[in-house]
Amino acid sequence: MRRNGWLLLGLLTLVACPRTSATPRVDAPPDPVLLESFDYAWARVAEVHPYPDMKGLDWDAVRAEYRPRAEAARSVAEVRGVIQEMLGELGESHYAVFPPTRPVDDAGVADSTHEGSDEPAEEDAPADEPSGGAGPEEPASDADAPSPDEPGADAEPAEATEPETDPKPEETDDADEPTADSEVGIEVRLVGESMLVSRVLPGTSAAEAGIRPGWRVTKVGSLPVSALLAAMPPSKTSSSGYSLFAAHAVSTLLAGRAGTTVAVQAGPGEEQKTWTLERRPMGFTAAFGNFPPISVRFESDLLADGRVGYVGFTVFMPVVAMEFQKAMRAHRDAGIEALIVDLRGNPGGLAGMVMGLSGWLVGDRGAALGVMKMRDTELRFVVNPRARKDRFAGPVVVLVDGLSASTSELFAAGLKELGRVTVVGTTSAGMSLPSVIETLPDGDLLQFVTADLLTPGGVRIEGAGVVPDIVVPLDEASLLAGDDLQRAAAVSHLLNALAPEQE
Amino acid sequence: MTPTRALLLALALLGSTALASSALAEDAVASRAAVKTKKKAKAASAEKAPAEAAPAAEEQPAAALPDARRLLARFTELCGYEKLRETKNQYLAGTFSMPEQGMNAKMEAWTAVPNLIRVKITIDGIGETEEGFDGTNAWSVDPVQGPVIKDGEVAAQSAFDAEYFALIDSERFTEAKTLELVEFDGTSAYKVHLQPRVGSAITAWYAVESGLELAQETVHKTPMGEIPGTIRMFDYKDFNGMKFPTRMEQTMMGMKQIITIDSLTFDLDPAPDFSVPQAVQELLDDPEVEAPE
Repeated sequence: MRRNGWLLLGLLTLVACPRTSATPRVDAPPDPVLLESFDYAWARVAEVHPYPDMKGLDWDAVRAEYRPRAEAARSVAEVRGVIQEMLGELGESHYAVFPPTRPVDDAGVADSTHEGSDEPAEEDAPADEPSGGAGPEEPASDADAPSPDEPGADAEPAEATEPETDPKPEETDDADEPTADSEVGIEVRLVGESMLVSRVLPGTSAAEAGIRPGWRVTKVGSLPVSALLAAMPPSKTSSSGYSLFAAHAVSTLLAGRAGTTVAVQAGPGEEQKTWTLERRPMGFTAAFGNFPPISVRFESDLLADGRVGYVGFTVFMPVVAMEFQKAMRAHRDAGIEALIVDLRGNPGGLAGMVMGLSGWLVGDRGAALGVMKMRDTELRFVVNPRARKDRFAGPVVVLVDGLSASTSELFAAGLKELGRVTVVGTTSAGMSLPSVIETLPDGDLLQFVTADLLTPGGVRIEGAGVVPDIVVPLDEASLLAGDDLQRAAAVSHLLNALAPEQE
Repeated sequence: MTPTRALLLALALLGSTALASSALAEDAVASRAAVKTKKKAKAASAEKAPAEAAPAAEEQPAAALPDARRLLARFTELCGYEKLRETKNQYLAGTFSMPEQGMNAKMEAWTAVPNLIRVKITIDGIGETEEGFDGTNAWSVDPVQGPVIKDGEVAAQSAFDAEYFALIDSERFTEAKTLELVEFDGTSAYKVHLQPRVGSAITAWYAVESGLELAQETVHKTPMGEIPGTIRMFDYKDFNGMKFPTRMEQTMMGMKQIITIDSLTFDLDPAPDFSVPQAVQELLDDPEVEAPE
């Protein structure tokens, strides 16, 4: 289409580069389709890479190195590992390969923190007798997640134990992989060396169980978080990549099919308990092209006695546009004076959505938010202003953190450079490249970059991220106290900005 | 094409400019003669872009190449596009897909004299995207970008593409020159340079034997910038006594888009509505939304 550019994905698909050390099953005959998939991936990446010289990377040499391993692959999972490792040589985001029905977390993020498999480490247990959030339980002594009615559900909490089991799951048939479309209601962030609950969503099994922000999550299913962190490779993409991958890996383990349960070992500090939490559908489910169904949450609220409007959403998908419109009109009718757009944890989505959403905040038609540099052309993400009666003219804060990626970064960086918003939080992921997802001959999905992305001022977001105007890191103590320091800082900044007008 | 428009509509959203057309009623003798002189050449891969198509094995002297306007006239005659003059509007129904990205859509388009068009593409997972020209305003609206009023060169291009009689407009191209005889996707074809009155130059390929247009390559002007694209036409079929391609493959930014035309209906009664959607009207009513100088 003429406006094809907006169809590009600015959605970060997180696939940690696996260690493909699995020994090929030499007794199985090679399947030509596996090598075809490798060749397709290698060629397609080269074909559309925004820079013909691949930014100095000898892509032919990369092929020569990895193709023999692809030739030795005897399963889709094995060749997937080889391809993913090959893509890792590019050292940039939005290169990934994953099965078509892999589990996704709330933001549509893929997990492949496990070698040679996409199987979640925990065993999904159907919640035959769901009790909402179950009570605390003794930490499981083996790899099995306890069921809600298992003896010991009301036992005294026990100390977290060191990992006793091999976190590497059995290799499974990808075709049977369930789509993870439901959540327990916990958001997590890596703070220091601790995986902390950063937020508990109301109405979820986690909220009903009494889980609180600031608690440390030490085990999900059979997988100790410490073992997961130890298995995470360093990020080649950005400084915040490790934290981002770690948090999303835990989120992925927490997500699953609706009605199943997962055991979560968590608590304040060292005071750890095990909780069996039910996964429930949340928000909307959106699907687009090859990407599996994505759970989308949208929130709208009034803060500071109604003076500050708040909107937050977990992914840039079309369903958000209508919710955004409803929220902005409701905020207008409520007479808000300032606005917070919360993009923390948002991994992106349809890149073109920045053009429509920014139009609620900016009146200059054609003002650029970012520039996509492709091999044969350059396209600008421009503002499409809404009618004056709809546009919000007051001060705006965009909240970002290390899990804000891709389209979120384009939105924040573009509006920041236009001088329209103040960015608050922590530096974003620095993973911003526009991409598409195509099907490989073996049925896996290949995500690859089609363009470089710069701000109108020529700043490259990839690798660097969006640096907030006001940096507010998370800390365990404030989370335990129930404080959202970042949001509080945003409100404070906005009220200060409004103050001179009231004098 | 009026139906051309319909196709246009499809093509418009899909990034093609107007199909090459000409009302010149010159005979096609030269073209047919050229067919007999075509040279055998290695078939170009169907996956290659036209620009990569292998040239003919032997250079054709310029004098031996048929006049480009005769090629256009032959194409118009073969397809019976003069019948467009007997119609006032049309409705197209088809599909749009990006198979490699797993994206599918239903496509509809309405066109009418003199230059009215409205295209609606309903994309799975996205919703309705609409684009049109009401004789004055070029506009679009979709859940991703919101409502947009086009301006400048982009609006001018939309208006030009919306012309109902584009396929039989002898003045549509200010330049038309046959460049060479080539092998295009395994078919001997004349490669033609066309400069429309509005918009970017077009390179078109016309089959030597059938006279049908095989492909176009041009640069599309969009609010986001210029996008080079190539569109191939296949499976010409008869609608109301006129031939139109019913399958088109467009390559743009390294991605393939496929358009299929299932039906073309002429002279709808009542006539289609080309008024702008409410969200676009709100922009038109807003004096503060101005394009930058």
